[in-house]
Amino acid sequence: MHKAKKSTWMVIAVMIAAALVAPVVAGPKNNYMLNILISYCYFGILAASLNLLIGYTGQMSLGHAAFMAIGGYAYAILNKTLGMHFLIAVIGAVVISFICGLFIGLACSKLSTIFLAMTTSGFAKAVTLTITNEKWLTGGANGFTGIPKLTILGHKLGNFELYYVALAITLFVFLFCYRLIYSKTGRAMQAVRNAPIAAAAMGINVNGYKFLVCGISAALAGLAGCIYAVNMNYLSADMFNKTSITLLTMTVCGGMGSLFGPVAGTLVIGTLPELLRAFSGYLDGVYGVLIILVMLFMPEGIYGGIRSLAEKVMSKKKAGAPAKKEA
Amino acid sequence: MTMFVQALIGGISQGAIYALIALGYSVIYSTLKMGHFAQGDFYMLGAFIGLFLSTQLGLPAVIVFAGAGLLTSLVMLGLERVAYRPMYNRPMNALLIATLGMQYVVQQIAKLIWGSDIKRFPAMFNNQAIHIPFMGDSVAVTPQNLWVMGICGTLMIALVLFMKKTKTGIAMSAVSMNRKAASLMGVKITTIITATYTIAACLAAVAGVLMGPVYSVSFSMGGSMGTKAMTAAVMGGFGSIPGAMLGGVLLGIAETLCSLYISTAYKDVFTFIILLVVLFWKPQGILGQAKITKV
Repeated sequence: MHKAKKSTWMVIAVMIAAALVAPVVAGPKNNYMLNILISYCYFGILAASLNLLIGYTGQMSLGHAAFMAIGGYAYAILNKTLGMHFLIAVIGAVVISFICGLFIGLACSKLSTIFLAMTTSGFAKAVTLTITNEKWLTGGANGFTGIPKLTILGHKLGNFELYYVALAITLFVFLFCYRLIYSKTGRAMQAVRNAPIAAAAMGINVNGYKFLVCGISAALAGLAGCIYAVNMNYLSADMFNKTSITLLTMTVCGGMGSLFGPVAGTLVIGTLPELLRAFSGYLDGVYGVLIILVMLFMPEGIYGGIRSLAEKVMSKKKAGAPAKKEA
Repeated sequence: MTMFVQALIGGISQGAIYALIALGYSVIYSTLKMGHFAQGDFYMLGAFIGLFLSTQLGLPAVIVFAGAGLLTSLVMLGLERVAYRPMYNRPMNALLIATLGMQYVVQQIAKLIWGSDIKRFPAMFNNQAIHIPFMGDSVAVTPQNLWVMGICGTLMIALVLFMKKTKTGIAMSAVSMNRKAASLMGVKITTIITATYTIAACLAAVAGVLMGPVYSVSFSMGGSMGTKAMTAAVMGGFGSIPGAMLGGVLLGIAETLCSLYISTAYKDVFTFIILLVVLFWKPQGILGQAKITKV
C-alpha cells in the first residue's frame, strides 16, 4: 500500500481540523457562511470525481454537471415525489447516476478526445433540455421546489448539522479516491491515460477501465448532487448550466492528476464568487481567463505550482547549507 | 407536400449557416489537428460587429460583411497569438481546455462592449416573401433565404477554389497531411496558421451577420450554434471541407423536419442523437476517410 510522507499527513490533519472548527468559528447561526462551507463540500466531491476522469484516466468530460443534475433530481423525485426514506433516495440517486455514467463510458471507450468532449457537452445539453421540458416529473423551467430537509430520529437537521454530514461524506469520498488511485485499478487508470496502446499490450482492459471510471465518477457527482439538493431545497436546470464552467475551472486550476488539486481548486475558485461579489457580471470571463492562464503557465495547476515552488525552495536550502559549511 | 417543401427550403438555408461555421471547425482541425470549441462564439462576435457597422455607422451591406469578417479575424488572430500559439507543441488536452476557456473570454468581451441584453438586428434584405406556385399551392421564399443560400454557396465555392488553386491553399493541404514534412519543404507554418484562423473567423462572422436579423443578437447565442455546427462537421467527416458543407445542409434539413413532424422542444436533443449515431456508426463521417491508428 502507498505510504504518504509524514508532512503530507500533517497537512491533511490541519485541513481536517480547520474544516471541523470552521462552522463553530463562523457561528452556528451564520447561514451565509454555512452555505459557503457546504458548497465547498459538494464542489470538492465534484472536482475530485472530475479529476478521476480527466486527471487520472485522461478522458475529457465537459458535461459533468449533468451527472450532478441527474443525482440531485433523482434524489428529489425519490424523496419528495415518491416519499422514500432519504437513505434509500441517496442510494437510488447514486445508482441512477452510475448507470448514466456507464452510458458516457460507452462513448469514452470508442471516441478520441475531441469527439468525447463534443459528446459529453451534447449530453449535458440534452439532460438540461429534458429537465426543462418534462414538467410533470421535474417541475420544468420553474424548478423543483420544496425538497425536505434531512430528518434523523425525528430531529430536523439545520445547516450546521448538515455541514458535518456533508463534510463526513466528502472525507469519505476523498478516502475512497485515495484508496482507488493507489490500487491496481488506479495504476491501470494512469496507464490508460499515459499510453493506452502500451497498457492494452500489457493486458489491461483499456475500455473496461474507462467504462468503470466513468461510472464511478458519475456516481460521485450524483452524490454531490444529493447534498446540493438537500442544502438548497430547490433545483433548476439553469443552476447546473452555471456549474459546468465553475467545475471545469476548479479542476483545471486546482491541478489535475493529484488528490490535493481538487481541494486547492475548490477552496480558491469556490471563494472567488464571494470575493468578486461586486463584479459578478465578469465572473465567467474571469474563469475563462484563469483557465487559459493556468494552461499557459501552470499546466500542473495551483497545487502543482505550489509544490514545484516548495521543491525549489527546499533544494536551494539544501544547496545553500553545504556551501556555508565550506565557507 | 407543400409543407414538406417549405420546410426543406427553410432547412437548406439554416443548414447553409451551419455549414459556414462547420467549415471553420474543419479547416482548423485539418491543418492544426485541434478542436476549436470557441468557434460558435466568434459567430456571435461577428454578429455584434455586423450590427454595430450596419446600425451605428450605417454602412452598406457589402462593407458590413467585409468589415465584420475583417474585425472578427483580427480579434481571433490576436487571441490566438496570445493564448493558443505557445501550446501547439503541448498535449492535446491543454489546447482543448484553453479553447473552452476562450469561449467565456469572447463572451465577456462582447458583454463588456455591447452589454448583456438581447439586441434586435434590423433586417438587411427585403422581407417580402416571394410566392412560387407549386403543385396547385404556393411555396413562400423570402429574399433572406435566397441571400443566405447565395452568399453561403459563393463562399463555399470560393473556399474550395482557394484550397485547390492558390499557393497558400495548397500549402494548407500539405500541412494537414504532414506538418513536419511541409515545414521542411519551406512552408511557413505561421503563415498557414494565420490563414487558417482568418478563414475560420471570416466564415463565422459572415454567418453571424446573416443570422443576426433572424435570431436577434445576444452574447450567449454562440453556444448552441457552435454545438450544432460541430455536429454538422462531424456528420460530414471532421476535417473534410466538402463534408462540412454536406453535413451542415443535411443537419439543417433534418432539424427542420424534426421540428415539423416530431417535436420543437426536443430539436436540440435530436441533434445530439444524430451526433451519437454518426459517431458510433460511422465515426469518420459521410465523406471522411477512415483513419487507421498506428502504434
